[in-house]
Amino acid sequence: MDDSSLPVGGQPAEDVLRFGYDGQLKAIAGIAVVNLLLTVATLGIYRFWAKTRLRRYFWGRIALDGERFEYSGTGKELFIGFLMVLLILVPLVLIFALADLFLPLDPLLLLVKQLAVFLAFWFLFNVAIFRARRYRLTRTRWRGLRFTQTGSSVGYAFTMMGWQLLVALTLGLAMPFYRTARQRYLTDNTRFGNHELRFLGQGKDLFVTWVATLLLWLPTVGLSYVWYRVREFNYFAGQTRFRGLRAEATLSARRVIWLVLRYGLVLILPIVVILVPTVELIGEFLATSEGAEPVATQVAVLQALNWVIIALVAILFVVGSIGMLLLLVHPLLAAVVESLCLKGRAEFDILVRARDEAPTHGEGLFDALDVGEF
Amino acid sequence: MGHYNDGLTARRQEVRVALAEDRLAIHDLNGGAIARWPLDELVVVDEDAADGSLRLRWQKDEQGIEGARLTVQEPRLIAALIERWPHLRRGGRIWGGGGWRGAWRIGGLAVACVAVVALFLVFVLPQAASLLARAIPVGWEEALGERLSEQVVDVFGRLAEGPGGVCRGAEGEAALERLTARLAVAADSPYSFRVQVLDLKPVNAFALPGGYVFLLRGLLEDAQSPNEVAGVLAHEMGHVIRRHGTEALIRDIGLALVLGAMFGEAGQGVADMGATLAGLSYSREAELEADRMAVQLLQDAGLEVAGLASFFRRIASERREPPGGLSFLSTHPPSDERAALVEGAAGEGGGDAGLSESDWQALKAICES
Repeated sequence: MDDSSLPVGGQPAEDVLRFGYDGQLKAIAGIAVVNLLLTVATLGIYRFWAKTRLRRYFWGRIALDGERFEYSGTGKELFIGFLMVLLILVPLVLIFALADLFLPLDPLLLLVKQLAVFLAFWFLFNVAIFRARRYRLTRTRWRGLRFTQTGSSVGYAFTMMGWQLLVALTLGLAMPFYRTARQRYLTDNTRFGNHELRFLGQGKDLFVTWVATLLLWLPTVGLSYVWYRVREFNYFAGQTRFRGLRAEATLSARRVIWLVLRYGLVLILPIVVILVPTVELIGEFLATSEGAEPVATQVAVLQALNWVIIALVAILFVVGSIGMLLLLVHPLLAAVVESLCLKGRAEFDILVRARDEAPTHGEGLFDALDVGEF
Repeated sequence: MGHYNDGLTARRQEVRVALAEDRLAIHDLNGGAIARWPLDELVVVDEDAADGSLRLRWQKDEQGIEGARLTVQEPRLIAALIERWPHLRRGGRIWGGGGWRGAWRIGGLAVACVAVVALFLVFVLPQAASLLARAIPVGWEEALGERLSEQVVDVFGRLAEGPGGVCRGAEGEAALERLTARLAVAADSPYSFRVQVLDLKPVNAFALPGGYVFLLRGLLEDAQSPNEVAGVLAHEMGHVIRRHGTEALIRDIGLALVLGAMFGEAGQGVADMGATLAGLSYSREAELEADRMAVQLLQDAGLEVAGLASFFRRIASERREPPGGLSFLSTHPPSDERAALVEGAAGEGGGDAGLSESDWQALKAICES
C-alpha cells in the first residue's frame, strides 16, 4: 500500500500463499457411485457417511501453501445430529399436519396457523445454516489446527431474518447489503486457531453490480446472477483479513457461467430426449383414438406414461447426484480454489490452537430442512 | 523425511521419520525426539493423495493432542510402512475402519436400518396412530369429515353418470334415513351419521371420519334384500365408531414423515410414493373389527344379521373383484372367512328385514329421480 512498508532493498515484504486443488475425476466418480448404491441400499441412512467421505476427499485435495486441509468429521456425528433433530422436528410437523386436518375451517385461524408455520421454518432454516457452518468449521483442519465459529445461531437467525425481510420489502434491491452483512457476520465470527478473521466489505460496493444483474436478469435468463455471485466472491475474498494476510480472488465469471450452462444442458437432456417425444406420441394416440379405442387401452397408455416419468425421475436423480459432482462441483472447486491466494506476512507459527468447545454432533437441522448445500 | 504438525500451534516442522520395531520415531532435524507413535495405532488421514504423500495421525490423539499430523513423502518409507501394516494401504481405508471390517459394518448398518424401519412401520406407527386417533375430539373428526365429504361429492360427482353425483330421490332418502336412525340408536355413539348414495356403478361403500358414510348405487342394485344394505351400512358405521379412518389418516401422515426424513433430500418423491402405496386403506384387523361391530349393531337394532353374511357369501362365490380406486373390498380379508365370522357371531339370528317393501323399492330407486 504505502512505500514505507517496503524494506530497503525494494523487495516487497509480501508472501504469496497459493491455494491448490488436485482432485481426480476418477476418484470422485468412484466415491459417488459407491455412495449412491449404499445410500439406496440403506434406505437413505448411509447419506451421512456418504457426505463425510466426499468431504474428506475434497478437503484433503485442497492445499494452502503446500499443506493439505483435512476434514475430521465422522458419519456418526452427522447421524446423531440427525436423530436429535428428528426428536424436535417430527412432533412439530405432526402437530402442524394434524392441525391442518382437524381445525375448523376458520379463515382467521388458518391464517394464524400458516403464519406460525412460516415463521417457525424461516427461523429454523437460518439457525440450520449457522449451526451447520459451525460444525463444518470445527471439523476443518489445516496444519493441525482447526477452525472455530463464535456467535450464536439464534442471534444469526434473527439478524438475517431482519435483512431478508428488508430484501423482500425492497423487491430485492437490498440484496448486496444483506449478502455483505451476512458475510460480515460469518467471517467476523470465524477463527483459525486462536485468531479471528476480519471482513471489511461494504454493501454499497456491490450495489451497481447488483442493479446491472437485475437489469440483465431477463435477457440472460438468470445467468447474470451467476456473474454477480462470481464478482461478489472476488470482492468478498479481497475484503477478508487474517492477521497480516489478505485474501485475493480472480475467479473468472466466464468459466463459471460455462460450467453452470453445461451442467444445466446435461440435466435438461434426458427431459428433452425421453419425455417430450413420449408425451407427443401419447397425445397423438389419445387424440386419434378418442372413442375408437376401448377405455382400457387408453388407461394402459396413460400407465405407460407414468412409467416413463418414473424412469425419468430415476435418471434425473442419478444425473443430479453423480453428474453434479463430476460436471459441476469438481470443476467449480478447481476454478474457485485455484483463483484464490493469500498475500501479506504469514505468521502461522505463533498461532496456537483454539480452546473453545466444538459441537459433538452435527448438522441435523441442516439435513432435515434440506437447506441444499454441501 | 517428512513434516509434522504438533496440533498445538500452526507450526510446520521438517522431521526425520524412522521405523523402529513397532513404533514410528519422529525426530527433528537436529535429532531431538518429538514423538513415538505405535504402528498399530496409526490412522491414514487421506483416502488417496494424488501426490504420493501419506498423512498419518495417531488414533489415540482424540483425547490428547488432537491435531498432531505427520506427512511422509519418502516412497521407500511409505512402502515399508504399508508392507508391515497393510491396513495403511492408501485407498484401502474406505469406510472409516480398516478395509473389509468397515464394509461389514456398513452391511450391518444397512440391515439394521431396514429392520428398524420395518419394525417401526409395522408395530410402532399403527399403535401410535391408534392411540392418537382415540385422543382426538369428535368435533375435530366431524370438521375433517365434512371437508373430506365435500371433496368426495365434488370428485365423484364428475365421474357419476347422473347429474350432481349424489342421488336425491326423496322417498329413498327418507327410507335410508329411517334405516340409519335404527342403527344409530343401537350404536349409541357420539357421532351423528350422514349417509348418502353416490350415482356410481361399482358394488362399494366407504366411510369418512366423523360419521360421513357413502353407499354406491351399484351396491343397492346388487343387494338381494334390505338386510344386505343394512349389514354394509352397519359395517361402515363400525369403521366410524372405531375411528379407523382417522387412524389410517394419522398413520399415513406419520409414514410420509418417516419416509421423508429417511430419504432426506433424495426423496420427497419416494415419500409420496410410499404414502400413496399405503393408501387410505384399513388394516385387516380393522375390517374384522368393523364386521364384529356390524353384527352387534344389527342385533341391538333388532335387524337380521344373515344379510351381511349372505352378502359376503355372494361376493365370494361370484369372485367378483371390485374395480380399483375404491378400496372397500380389495384390502379386505377373504369374503368366505368374513361370512363365516359373521354367521358365527350372529348366533340364533332373528330380527326383521329393516325396511318395508315400499321403502326398499324407494331406496333401490333413489337415483332415478
